[in-house]
Amino acid sequence: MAQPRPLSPHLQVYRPQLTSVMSIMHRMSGAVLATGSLLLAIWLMVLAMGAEFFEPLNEALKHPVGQLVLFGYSLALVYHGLNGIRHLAWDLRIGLEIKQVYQTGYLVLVSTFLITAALWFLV
Amino acid sequence: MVFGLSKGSNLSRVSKNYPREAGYGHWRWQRFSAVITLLLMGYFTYLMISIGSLDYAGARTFVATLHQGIALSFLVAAGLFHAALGVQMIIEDYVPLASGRVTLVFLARGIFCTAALASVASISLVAEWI
Repeated sequence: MAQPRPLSPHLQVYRPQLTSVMSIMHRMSGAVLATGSLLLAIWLMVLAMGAEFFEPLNEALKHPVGQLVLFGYSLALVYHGLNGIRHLAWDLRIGLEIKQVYQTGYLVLVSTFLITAALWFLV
Repeated sequence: MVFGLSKGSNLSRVSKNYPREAGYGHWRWQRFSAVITLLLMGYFTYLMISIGSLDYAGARTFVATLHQGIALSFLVAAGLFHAALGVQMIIEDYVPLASGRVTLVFLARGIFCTAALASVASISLVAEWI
Protein backbone atom coordinates (compact mmCIF):
# COMPACT_ATOMS: atom_id res chain seq x y z
CA MET A 1 0.00 0.00 0.00
CA ALA A 2 1.27 3.48 -0.83
CA GLN A 3 2.59 5.65 1.98
CA PRO A 4 0.22 8.41 3.07
CA ARG A 5 1.39 11.77 1.75
CA PRO A 6 0.63 15.29 2.88
CA LEU A 7 -2.40 16.84 1.23
CA SER A 8 -2.16 20.29 -0.36
CA PRO A 9 -2.44 23.22 0.01
CA HIS A 10 -1.64 23.34 3.78
CA LEU A 11 -4.14 26.11 4.44
CA GLN A 12 -3.42 26.01 8.15
CA VAL A 13 0.30 26.73 7.67
CA TYR A 14 0.55 29.72 5.34
CA ARG A 15 -0.67 33.29 5.82
CA PRO A 16 -3.17 34.15 3.04
CA GLN A 17 -1.66 36.18 0.17
CA LEU A 18 -3.18 37.37 -3.11
CA THR A 19 -1.42 34.54 -4.94
CA SER A 20 -2.61 31.76 -2.66
CA VAL A 21 -6.13 33.17 -2.28
CA MET A 22 -6.53 33.47 -6.07
CA SER A 23 -5.21 29.95 -6.53
CA ILE A 24 -7.77 28.60 -4.05
CA MET A 25 -10.48 30.72 -5.71
CA HIS A 26 -9.52 29.17 -9.06
CA ARG A 27 -10.19 25.73 -7.62
CA MET A 28 -13.38 26.80 -5.89
CA SER A 29 -14.71 28.47 -9.05
CA GLY A 30 -13.76 25.32 -10.97
CA ALA A 31 -15.78 23.23 -8.53
CA VAL A 32 -18.75 25.61 -8.92
CA LEU A 33 -18.46 25.38 -12.71
CA ALA A 34 -18.22 21.58 -12.64
CA THR A 35 -21.47 21.46 -10.65
CA GLY A 36 -23.04 24.07 -12.92
CA SER A 37 -22.03 22.09 -16.01
CA LEU A 38 -24.07 19.20 -14.65
CA LEU A 39 -27.01 21.59 -14.21
CA LEU A 40 -26.62 22.63 -17.86
CA ALA A 41 -26.71 18.94 -18.79
CA ILE A 42 -29.92 18.52 -16.76
CA TRP A 43 -31.39 21.63 -18.46
CA LEU A 44 -30.71 20.08 -21.88
CA MET A 45 -32.14 16.72 -20.82
CA VAL A 46 -35.43 18.15 -19.47
CA LEU A 47 -35.70 20.27 -22.62
CA ALA A 48 -35.57 17.09 -24.70
CA MET A 49 -37.99 15.28 -22.37
CA GLY A 50 -40.85 17.78 -22.78
CA ALA A 51 -42.55 20.89 -21.42
CA GLU A 52 -43.88 19.17 -18.29
CA PHE A 53 -40.30 18.42 -17.21
CA PHE A 54 -38.83 21.70 -18.45
CA GLU A 55 -41.25 24.20 -16.87
CA PRO A 56 -40.49 23.49 -13.16
CA LEU A 57 -36.74 23.94 -13.77
CA ASN A 58 -37.37 27.05 -15.86
CA GLU A 59 -39.55 28.56 -13.14
CA ALA A 60 -36.78 27.88 -10.62
CA LEU A 61 -34.26 29.66 -12.86
CA LYS A 62 -36.53 32.70 -13.22
CA HIS A 63 -37.00 32.94 -9.45
CA PRO A 64 -34.72 35.52 -7.72
CA VAL A 65 -32.83 32.67 -6.04
CA GLY A 66 -32.36 31.01 -9.43
CA GLN A 67 -31.14 34.31 -10.90
CA LEU A 68 -28.72 34.65 -7.98
CA VAL A 69 -27.42 31.15 -8.70
CA LEU A 70 -26.96 32.06 -12.38
CA PHE A 71 -25.22 35.30 -11.39
CA GLY A 72 -22.84 33.41 -9.08
CA TYR A 73 -22.25 30.89 -11.82
CA SER A 74 -21.44 33.58 -14.40
CA LEU A 75 -19.12 35.28 -11.88
CA ALA A 76 -17.27 31.97 -11.34
CA LEU A 77 -17.17 31.41 -15.09
CA VAL A 78 -15.64 34.80 -15.91
CA TYR A 79 -13.13 34.54 -13.05
CA HIS A 80 -12.09 30.98 -13.93
CA GLY A 81 -11.74 31.89 -17.60
CA LEU A 82 -9.67 35.03 -17.01
CA ASN A 83 -7.51 33.40 -14.36
CA GLY A 84 -7.18 30.36 -16.65
CA ILE A 85 -5.61 32.61 -19.30
CA ARG A 86 -3.11 33.65 -16.59
CA HIS A 87 -2.32 30.00 -15.83
CA LEU A 88 -1.83 29.22 -19.52
CA ALA A 89 0.53 32.20 -19.82
CA TRP A 90 2.54 30.89 -16.87
CA ASP A 91 2.79 27.52 -18.63
CA LEU A 92 4.40 29.42 -21.51
CA ARG A 93 6.72 31.12 -18.97
CA ILE A 94 5.04 34.50 -19.48
CA GLY A 95 4.33 36.80 -16.52
CA LEU A 96 6.16 34.79 -13.88
CA GLU A 97 7.92 37.73 -12.21
CA ILE A 98 6.35 38.36 -8.81
CA LYS A 99 5.41 41.95 -9.74
CA GLN A 100 3.68 40.70 -12.91
CA VAL A 101 1.91 37.97 -10.94
CA TYR A 102 0.41 40.61 -8.64
CA GLN A 103 -0.42 43.01 -11.48
CA THR A 104 -2.22 40.34 -13.50
CA GLY A 105 -3.91 39.12 -10.33
CA TYR A 106 -5.46 42.51 -9.62
CA LEU A 107 -6.31 42.88 -13.32
CA VAL A 108 -8.20 39.57 -13.26
CA LEU A 109 -10.13 40.51 -10.12
CA VAL A 110 -11.20 43.93 -11.41
CA SER A 111 -11.98 42.57 -14.91
CA THR A 112 -14.08 39.75 -13.44
CA PHE A 113 -16.43 42.15 -11.65
CA LEU A 114 -16.58 44.61 -14.54
CA ILE A 115 -17.24 41.99 -17.24
CA THR A 116 -19.83 40.11 -15.17
CA ALA A 117 -21.65 43.33 -14.27
CA ALA A 118 -21.56 44.50 -17.90
CA LEU A 119 -22.93 41.18 -19.16
CA TRP A 120 -25.86 41.22 -16.73
CA PHE A 121 -26.53 44.86 -17.52
CA LEU A 122 -26.47 44.33 -21.29
CA VAL A 123 -28.15 40.92 -21.74
CA MET B 1 9.98 20.02 -26.80
CA VAL B 2 7.30 19.77 -24.15
CA PHE B 3 4.50 22.32 -24.63
CA GLY B 4 5.45 25.53 -22.85
CA LEU B 5 9.12 24.69 -22.29
CA SER B 6 11.79 26.13 -24.51
CA LYS B 7 14.49 23.85 -25.85
CA GLY B 8 17.48 23.57 -23.56
CA SER B 9 15.72 24.78 -20.38
CA ASN B 10 16.27 22.81 -17.18
CA LEU B 11 12.67 21.68 -17.17
CA SER B 12 12.77 20.44 -20.77
CA ARG B 13 15.97 18.47 -19.97
CA VAL B 14 14.17 16.84 -17.05
CA SER B 15 11.19 16.11 -19.28
CA LYS B 16 13.45 14.53 -21.88
CA ASN B 17 14.76 12.12 -19.27
CA TYR B 18 11.31 11.40 -17.89
CA PRO B 19 9.08 12.22 -20.86
CA ARG B 20 5.85 10.41 -20.06
CA GLU B 21 5.15 10.37 -16.35
CA ALA B 22 1.56 9.41 -15.49
CA GLY B 23 0.58 13.01 -14.70
CA TYR B 24 1.84 14.44 -17.99
CA GLY B 25 -1.12 13.19 -20.03
CA HIS B 26 -3.55 14.64 -17.49
CA TRP B 27 -1.72 17.99 -17.51
CA ARG B 28 -1.65 18.13 -21.32
CA TRP B 29 -5.34 17.22 -21.76
CA GLN B 30 -6.36 19.69 -19.07
CA ARG B 31 -4.58 22.51 -20.94
CA PHE B 32 -5.96 21.39 -24.30
CA SER B 33 -9.55 21.25 -23.03
CA ALA B 34 -9.00 24.59 -21.23
CA VAL B 35 -8.05 26.29 -24.50
CA ILE B 36 -11.12 24.84 -26.28
CA THR B 37 -13.39 25.85 -23.40
CA LEU B 38 -11.82 29.32 -23.28
CA LEU B 39 -12.63 29.83 -26.95
CA LEU B 40 -16.27 29.08 -26.11
CA MET B 41 -16.26 31.01 -22.82
CA GLY B 42 -17.91 34.14 -24.14
CA TYR B 43 -20.70 32.06 -25.63
CA PHE B 44 -21.04 30.03 -22.43
CA THR B 45 -21.37 33.16 -20.28
CA TYR B 46 -23.97 34.62 -22.64
CA LEU B 47 -25.81 31.29 -22.50
CA MET B 48 -25.83 31.18 -18.69
CA ILE B 49 -27.34 34.65 -18.48
CA SER B 50 -29.90 34.27 -21.25
CA ILE B 51 -31.35 30.79 -20.65
CA GLY B 52 -33.21 31.95 -17.54
CA SER B 53 -35.45 34.20 -19.64
CA LEU B 54 -36.38 31.59 -22.27
CA ASP B 55 -39.69 29.72 -22.21
CA TYR B 56 -40.01 26.13 -23.44
CA ALA B 57 -40.70 27.00 -27.10
CA GLY B 58 -37.96 29.65 -27.10
CA ALA B 59 -35.45 27.26 -25.54
CA ARG B 60 -36.22 24.54 -28.11
CA THR B 61 -35.89 27.03 -30.97
CA PHE B 62 -32.63 28.29 -29.48
CA VAL B 63 -31.08 24.79 -29.19
CA ALA B 64 -32.49 23.62 -32.53
CA THR B 65 -30.74 26.43 -34.42
CA LEU B 66 -27.87 24.73 -36.23
CA HIS B 67 -25.00 26.91 -35.05
CA GLN B 68 -26.32 27.02 -31.46
CA GLY B 69 -26.67 23.22 -31.41
CA ILE B 70 -23.16 22.69 -32.72
CA ALA B 71 -21.63 25.25 -30.33
CA LEU B 72 -23.55 23.74 -27.40
CA SER B 73 -22.36 20.22 -28.31
CA PHE B 74 -18.72 21.34 -28.40
CA LEU B 75 -19.23 23.28 -25.20
CA VAL B 76 -20.68 20.42 -23.14
CA ALA B 77 -18.14 17.93 -24.51
CA ALA B 78 -15.07 20.11 -23.87
CA GLY B 79 -16.44 21.69 -20.68
CA LEU B 80 -17.46 18.43 -19.02
CA PHE B 81 -14.16 16.79 -20.06
CA HIS B 82 -12.25 19.72 -18.52
CA ALA B 83 -14.48 19.52 -15.42
CA ALA B 84 -13.77 15.79 -15.03
CA LEU B 85 -10.01 16.43 -15.16
CA GLY B 86 -10.30 19.30 -12.68
CA VAL B 87 -12.41 17.29 -10.23
CA GLN B 88 -9.88 14.44 -10.51
CA MET B 89 -7.10 16.87 -9.52
CA ILE B 90 -9.07 18.13 -6.52
CA ILE B 91 -9.81 14.55 -5.40
CA GLU B 92 -6.14 13.57 -5.77
CA ASP B 93 -5.02 16.60 -3.74
CA TYR B 94 -7.49 16.37 -0.88
CA VAL B 95 -8.68 12.77 -0.55
CA PRO B 96 -6.24 10.30 1.04
CA LEU B 97 -5.64 7.13 -0.98
CA ALA B 98 -6.98 4.94 1.81
CA SER B 99 -10.28 6.82 1.80
CA GLY B 100 -11.22 5.56 -1.65
CA ARG B 101 -9.52 8.15 -3.88
CA VAL B 102 -9.38 5.87 -6.92
CA THR B 103 -13.04 4.92 -6.62
CA LEU B 104 -14.01 8.59 -6.36
CA VAL B 105 -11.98 9.46 -9.47
CA PHE B 106 -13.70 6.74 -11.50
CA LEU B 107 -17.10 7.77 -10.11
CA ALA B 108 -16.47 11.39 -11.16
CA ARG B 109 -15.36 10.29 -14.62
CA GLY B 110 -18.51 8.17 -14.97
CA ILE B 111 -20.80 11.03 -13.92
CA PHE B 112 -19.23 13.60 -16.27
CA CYS B 113 -19.02 11.15 -19.18
CA THR B 114 -22.70 10.20 -18.74
CA ALA B 115 -23.67 13.89 -18.51
CA ALA B 116 -21.75 14.70 -21.70
CA LEU B 117 -23.31 11.84 -23.65
CA ALA B 118 -26.81 12.64 -22.36
CA SER B 119 -26.34 16.33 -23.22
CA VAL B 120 -25.23 15.69 -26.79
CA ALA B 121 -28.07 13.15 -27.22
CA SER B 122 -30.56 15.73 -25.88
CA ILE B 123 -29.30 18.42 -28.24
CA SER B 124 -29.52 15.94 -31.15
CA LEU B 125 -33.13 15.08 -30.22
CA VAL B 126 -34.21 18.71 -29.87
CA ALA B 127 -32.46 19.71 -33.11
CA GLU B 128 -33.89 16.58 -34.81
CA TRP B 129 -30.47 15.40 -35.92
CA ILE B 130 -31.49 11.86 -34.90
